[in-house]
Amino acid sequence: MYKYLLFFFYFSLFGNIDEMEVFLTRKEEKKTLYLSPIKIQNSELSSKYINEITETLRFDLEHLEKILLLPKNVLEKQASFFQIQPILQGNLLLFKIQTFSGNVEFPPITLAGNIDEDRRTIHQTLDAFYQKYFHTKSILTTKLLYTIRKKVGEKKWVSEIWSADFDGQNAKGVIQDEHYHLFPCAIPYSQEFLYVSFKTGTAKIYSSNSQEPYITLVGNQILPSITKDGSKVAFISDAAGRPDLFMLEKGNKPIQLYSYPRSTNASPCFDPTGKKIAFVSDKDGAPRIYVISVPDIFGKRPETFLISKKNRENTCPSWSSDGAKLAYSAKTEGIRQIWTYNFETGEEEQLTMGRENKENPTWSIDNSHIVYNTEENAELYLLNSNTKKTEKLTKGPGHKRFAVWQTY
Amino acid sequence: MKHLLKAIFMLTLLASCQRSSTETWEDVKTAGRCIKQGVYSLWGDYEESKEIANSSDFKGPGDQDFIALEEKDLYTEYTQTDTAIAQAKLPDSELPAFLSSKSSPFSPVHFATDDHVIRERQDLITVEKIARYLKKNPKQCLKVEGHCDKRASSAYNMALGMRRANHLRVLLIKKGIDYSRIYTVSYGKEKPVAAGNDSKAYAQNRRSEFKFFTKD
Repeated sequence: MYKYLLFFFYFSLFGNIDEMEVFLTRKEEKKTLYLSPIKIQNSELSSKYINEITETLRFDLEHLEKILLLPKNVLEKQASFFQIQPILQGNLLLFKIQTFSGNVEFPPITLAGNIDEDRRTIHQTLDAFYQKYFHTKSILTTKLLYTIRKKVGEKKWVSEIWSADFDGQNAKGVIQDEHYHLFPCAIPYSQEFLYVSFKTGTAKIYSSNSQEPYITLVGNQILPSITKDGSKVAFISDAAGRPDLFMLEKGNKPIQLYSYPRSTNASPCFDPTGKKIAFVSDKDGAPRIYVISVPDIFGKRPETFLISKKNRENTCPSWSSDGAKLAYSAKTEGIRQIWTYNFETGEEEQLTMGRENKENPTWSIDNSHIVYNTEENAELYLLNSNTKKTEKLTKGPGHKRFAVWQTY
Repeated sequence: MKHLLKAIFMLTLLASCQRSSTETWEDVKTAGRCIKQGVYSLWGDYEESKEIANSSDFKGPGDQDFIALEEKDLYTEYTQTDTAIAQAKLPDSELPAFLSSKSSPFSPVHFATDDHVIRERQDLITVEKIARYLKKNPKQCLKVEGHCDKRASSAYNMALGMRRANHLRVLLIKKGIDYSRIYTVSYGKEKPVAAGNDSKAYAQNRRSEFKFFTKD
């Protein structure tokens, strides 16, 4: 009996072990920050406007990864690492910043009296402050690209591409016409982006800088994902007769990367190195998320590594920019929730709760936040991946979906 | 023999103890599907896994404008319900006609949840009728739309709708319609016809629609 047990352990140890590259980040302690109520000295700005400015300051500081913003009524402000006292003199917003090592000079902001413009200025100013102390960019100056689906007329729907600041403000239409556009895909460090349009009657991938399809291929192309250096695009196409995973490297023919009998494949997502792709496939029954390595030689189906094991119906994978985690949507007790998979520990963690279906998670550049959309009320939400605190970013008519972060 | 059986039992027990109940249940269902296919084939029902007789079973373009996978099982397994035939290029000159393709007198066909194969007799008759219509009207071309119900994510549904449309396309090609006369598009769950949250509405939305246009 024991001989057989030994056999079992022997085969477990020397069985097929997939090697996965893991990027480890050191967790640093957050620096506490106390934001004093704004001191008003001779300002003609309305109290409503001043409240908006204050709320913008708080929102921004709350979403700085390395800062812990203390609650408004905390009494131990003397113990906080940073103390910020905003002072409004006329339309000049000054900051008195104290740290343990003394007072800090900070350039004032001239408020224009236009809330959208002033919000943007506050984002830039606080991002500069954050970069000075932590030597890394924050999410404050990043933008979101997303789609808004609207009804025009009795039976017709359009889907437009919109852009907004990371807080959902300053929203403006980027591609607005009578057609149906979906799945924006930000090209890193560029204002250019890819998206899918049905304007020619079939689904094709376009660049925001051109009217011609980005990929010359028969059939339909959907769900693009691009590498960090912009050299490769993964997408789903039925060019070969099934929804298969394809890849296009600049200057080369598209490659049919993955197909499987009787399977539907969807939602490819490159890892930060561009050497692995996470995607959805129902090849083993319910849709699950798998990872493949991008092969050097094509023609042979790469081996898949199953990621999502806990739940049925796992979709919409999104790889964090440090490569450590994958966010995705998984059906949990009948509701689609946002989960993450940790490549280091192999653990899956549920990040959201609540009755609404959630999908299309997308990571911020510093991996601190995830934006996703709900299905029923179709709004965008900002989720802190560490605290799991969620804030609603959008409101108003139209279904907001498929958000991606833009950095440029 | 007794020791061998004991060993197999212990290995199975130890292996399944490592897995969650969800994982084990999924594996049981997969095993069940494989056993079902094996039993059916004993009775001569090779529907799911018949090897194609020869390459003329495929009617598609010879040259590919992409580098294709060469895995044999893509061309041999489940070919009754899963034949893949490459898409045809839609000439730019046909675009205006394609964009204004009109709804057909043929009613939509419907699918079971998460399925891409039509199984109802009435739907198969509809496909037969469409094939006959296309044969009688050689200048008519067809756009097949794939649609889904709202229950899975938008992205996955877009791919599943693609699957459904391609399945109908293949059925028509197998009935003798030239592959270059049939085009597909998926709308996923973007264009529901029924707004409810019940099984009836879901069933109505899981469909393929047919639209015709005339080629010059």
